Amino acid sequence: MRVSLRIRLLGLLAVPALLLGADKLQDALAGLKSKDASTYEKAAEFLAKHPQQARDPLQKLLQQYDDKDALTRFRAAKLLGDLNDQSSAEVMKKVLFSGLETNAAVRVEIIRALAKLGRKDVIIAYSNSGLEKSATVTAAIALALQGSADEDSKAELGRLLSSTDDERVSRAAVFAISKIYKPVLENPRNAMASKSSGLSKAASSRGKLPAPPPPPSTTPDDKAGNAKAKLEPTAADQAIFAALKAKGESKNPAITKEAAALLQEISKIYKQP
Amino acid sequence: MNARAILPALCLCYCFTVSGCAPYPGRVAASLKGPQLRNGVVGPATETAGGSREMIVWNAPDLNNGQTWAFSPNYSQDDIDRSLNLCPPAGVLFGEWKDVEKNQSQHVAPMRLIHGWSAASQFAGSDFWGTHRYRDWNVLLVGSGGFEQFAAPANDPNFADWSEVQDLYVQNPEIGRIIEVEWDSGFFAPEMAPQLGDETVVVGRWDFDCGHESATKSGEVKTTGFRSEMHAPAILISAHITKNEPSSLQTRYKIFAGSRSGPLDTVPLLFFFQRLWGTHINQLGGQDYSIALQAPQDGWRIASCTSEEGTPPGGRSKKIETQLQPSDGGKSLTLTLLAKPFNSGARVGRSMIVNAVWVPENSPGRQGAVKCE
Repeated sequence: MRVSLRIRLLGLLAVPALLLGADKLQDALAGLKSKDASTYEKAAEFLAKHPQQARDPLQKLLQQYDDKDALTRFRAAKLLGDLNDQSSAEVMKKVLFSGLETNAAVRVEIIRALAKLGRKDVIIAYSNSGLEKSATVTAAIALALQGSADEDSKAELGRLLSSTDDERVSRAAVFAISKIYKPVLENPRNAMASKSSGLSKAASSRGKLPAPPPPPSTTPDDKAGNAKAKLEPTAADQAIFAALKAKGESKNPAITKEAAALLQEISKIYKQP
Repeated sequence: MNARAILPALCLCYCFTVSGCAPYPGRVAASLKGPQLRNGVVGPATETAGGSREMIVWNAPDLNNGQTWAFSPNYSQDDIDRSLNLCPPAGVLFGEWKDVEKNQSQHVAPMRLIHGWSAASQFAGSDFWGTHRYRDWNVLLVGSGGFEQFAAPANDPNFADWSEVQDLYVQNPEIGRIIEVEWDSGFFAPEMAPQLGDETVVVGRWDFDCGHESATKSGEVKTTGFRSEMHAPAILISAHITKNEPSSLQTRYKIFAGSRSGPLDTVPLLFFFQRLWGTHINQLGGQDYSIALQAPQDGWRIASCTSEEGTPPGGRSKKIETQLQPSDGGKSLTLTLLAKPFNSGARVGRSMIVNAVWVPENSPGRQGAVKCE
């Protein structure tokens, strides 16, 4: 008797509490649309603290393709990236591939959110689809792949660099590529000794990407401990080198300089094709 | 013994807690304390349309001469490293603002000039009392051309700590980088700030805000360093079109100059002691400044002009005298701030408003010299 009474009492208390919680959630979701800074910040804070409740409505908001609500979708994408929920990556993929999201800023934020979620595979697939026409978003794709030493990311960066004339995309791609080779250039011995590719801590750290490639092969001299031995480039490395070489001869002097300087640095440690 | 140790500790904790926010100055109108006008679209109000021209042209001195650092228009590791090196981890505790052009041989970094359009202009959401006398007035500038060399990679317009920036960016995804201009309202009059869409010229200290790192702390998007900004300015000039008719144009120019900018050099950990006497002084004195004020289009001449005193800043400072006269056959007004008689580190300032009426060059009427009253 007492137990059932307690359960009833708990039920009576729980209903208003749940209703109150639902109200707060609705208020927070409405706050995402607000142009008042403090209202938005409070809303974002509440949603970030309640990821389970916030996830589904945020995913719905992201798919409400109404021009007036671009700011809300931008903020929803940002929060979904911060909530670290993998189901959101599938929603973002759907949004990108649908072609219904016309606002480039929202697409940039989705790319950034996917990078936060470790879903470079989705970013690469989207980039390869040829659906993206905005230079701003393409530059964001390149930046999202910065420091990623897996073959797929390198191949995509090489493709982006070789296929664009846009200065913003070119610079972003050169920057992203420099982040891949920087650790190798700084410490080539570690790179050679690493069991993985060893080129980036970021690569494949979340286990959602294909298995890392085998360590770069080296010349026999290298195995004997010769510091001057050079690494054997993979197919993706070679694609990047070719793209850098082509950019090194482009008409834009600033990009030419950056690409040539990076290629020169890389040639100290890698065998050039 | 315990009371002796605990009481000061409690007092210190309490003071740090309550000092989170710098206050608004009492003299500021209530209407300025809330959110200001906003229009997310950067349209005709913020850029010169076909046939139009800049309304403010800086004549002299050449403040960007001998610049030792310029950011590339997009991503460069050198640019990112520049801010990361100047803003070490926890560096914000030992001084939040670091000169972009750090030069050991100079006592202070030289003042620089940027030219853009105001995309937002309002009080900061909150500011740390230890490094501010009063809350900052913030202006968000967008620009083109030479503007870009002052904007660090972290100035990409997606920073999350300004909801106005999000709004602006979503409406204008291709907007390019944004620079903040921040001035302690204890030494600046918010009434003299540019309005939304106004053309704006800023001269002042070009620095990194080591409190605002870009990108995310988590995930695999790496940092692009810290934001660069103008903090604090020494001269802020804005131009606003008040009437636009085929037969006449009326423009208003706000000119505000001040060498003082509050205790921003204070070490936050020691602010209780330092902020009492610390105020950053821009080297405004020691030279004159010449600026041409123009109509927003070619083919207009000055018909009449008036100048009036603007709202003065708080605190004491010596007044910079000015000269205002038509030039280039009446096609522009030349304003000279006569700061040469003062020492470079003097506490000087000036606040004034110039109203001008422009008519088409071929319109009938007096073609002779116009005097500004």
